[in-house]
Amino acid sequence: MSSRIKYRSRLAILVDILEVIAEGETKPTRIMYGANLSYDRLQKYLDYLVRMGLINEIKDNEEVRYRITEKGLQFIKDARRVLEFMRAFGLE
Amino acid sequence: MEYNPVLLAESIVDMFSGFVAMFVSFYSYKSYRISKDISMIGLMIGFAFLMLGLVARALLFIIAMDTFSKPGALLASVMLGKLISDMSTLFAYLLMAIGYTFSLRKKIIPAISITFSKVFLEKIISWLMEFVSSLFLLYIIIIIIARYLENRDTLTFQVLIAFLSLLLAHVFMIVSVSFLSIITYMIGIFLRFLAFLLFLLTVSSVVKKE
Repeated sequence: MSSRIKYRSRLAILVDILEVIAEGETKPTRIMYGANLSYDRLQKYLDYLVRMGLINEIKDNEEVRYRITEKGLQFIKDARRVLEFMRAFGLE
Repeated sequence: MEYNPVLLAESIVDMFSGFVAMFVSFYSYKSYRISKDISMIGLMIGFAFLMLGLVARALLFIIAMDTFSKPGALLASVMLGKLISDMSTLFAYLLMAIGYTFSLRKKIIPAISITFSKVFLEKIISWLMEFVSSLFLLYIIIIIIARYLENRDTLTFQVLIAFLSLLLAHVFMIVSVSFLSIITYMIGIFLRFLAFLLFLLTVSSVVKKE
């Protein structure tokens, strides 16, 4: 097993989260494992994504789920290109 | 009206390179709006400076060839164009180097000192600017090599070759200024053209990707 820790940029983390949510309505724990984040960090990113209108928060009784918006789907496309561009120029 | 073939070729390459630099700068701006990554600002302003220098020089060369009949006036105009371009290039690589440093999450304060000589002032300034620009470029290239060894991405390799071509172009320019060699000057122009062609191909393939 490699001991190297790969640095992920903020944008790469946002894309990872959105890609998990894009699979369907998702619970925070599923996103946490899918995007490989701690609960506290995930909450900050989820708040940001909701504020930006990239995901919607759905509250059903005690349960919270997240659903991706059209804007969120477009963001994934744009962000993938940006990450590709940054990687090409050795900035990611 | 007869145009100097070397100046004409350089002006055409500069115009093309300026267009590519503008394209890369614009895409860096678009990327910054999405990523909010500060290193993209270095790339954006750096390529904008490159574009300014290249276009200003191309225009000055064209105007000089078209307007001046006296060799002295032509030379003065060409030197002014080269000075503007060298200054812009220097700033461009400095800003890019700072941007790349931010991508490493470290900070540096580059220091530049220029010494003057009354006798060969123009030659020394030109040589120094090419030299300092080359140092900044070398720094950028080292970071890109490290990134390429990490991700083995074809596009990163393409950008690496582009920056290496730019560095080689500067080396050839230094040689041409030192020995007043027209052949090395032309090779330098060709290498610069190749570098910007590779930048164009890289950004185009990123834009085309779904």
